[in-house]
Amino acid sequence: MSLLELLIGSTVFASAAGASLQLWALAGAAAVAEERQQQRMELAEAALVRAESALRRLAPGGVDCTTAASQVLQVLAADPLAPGLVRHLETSTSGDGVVLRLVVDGEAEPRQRLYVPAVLGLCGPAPQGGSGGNP
Amino acid sequence: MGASMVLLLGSLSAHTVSLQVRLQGIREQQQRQAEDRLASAGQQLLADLYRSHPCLLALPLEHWDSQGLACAPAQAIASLRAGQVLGRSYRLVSWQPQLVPAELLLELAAAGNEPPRQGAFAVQLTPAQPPAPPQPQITDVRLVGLRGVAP
Repeated sequence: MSLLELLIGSTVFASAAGASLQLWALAGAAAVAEERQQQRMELAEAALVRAESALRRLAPGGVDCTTAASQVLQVLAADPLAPGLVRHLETSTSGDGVVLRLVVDGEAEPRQRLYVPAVLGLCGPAPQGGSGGNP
Repeated sequence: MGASMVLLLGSLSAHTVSLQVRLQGIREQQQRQAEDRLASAGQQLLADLYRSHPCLLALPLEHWDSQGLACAPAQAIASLRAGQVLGRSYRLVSWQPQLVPAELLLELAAAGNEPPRQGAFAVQLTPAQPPAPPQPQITDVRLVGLRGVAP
């Protein structure tokens, strides 16, 4: 093997090792970022589950739907929020529901859900003779 | 030269794996968004029914265009069969109030590279008892499952 061949071989190997290191670094950084994002998404999911559970614990029926919508707003606003999440609450366009929006850091689209008290058995005539359906 | 190729191929495959993980994350996020929209569509549709045409709550979907016309105009029934929620279209696939709990099936329209998805709901109805109105009362609704629909 001549000196020239050795030089070329070493240069190629050094370039390949450099490129390889860069690619590993990129892959590692992407994996860490993805892991963090997944954690934030899990926190948002947990917040939605908690919100729904809290709404199901409200006493069923008996009040008017406007009062029930205010109760829903209060319950949703009272839930402690994890870092990396921002909560927005607003009345739905029909006026009888509440839209919960959870903005997750790094996600273009928020998690959002509509809750209508009448459908959750929280307003209107009190159910008679039934279990109420809210375990 | 061989060692260089091994190094490069190894790191390229690591990069490919990280891209696949990211893609999987995006798919999961799309599924969660679909779940949000379907859950909201369920709330919206049942609220519309409860508010405007509670008589339809007691009728399976296949009877809406016959017996349902006795209590709701055809135009209202058509607008209940399809709607918009949080910026996406949905349609009512099935409503079976005779089951316990009642079953509701909604389909979210395809958007972009997302396929249409269906969501099944369990709806708790309390039968009407005098002096309550003669329609069942909704006491709970839960999204119990999500599935893709073959294009």
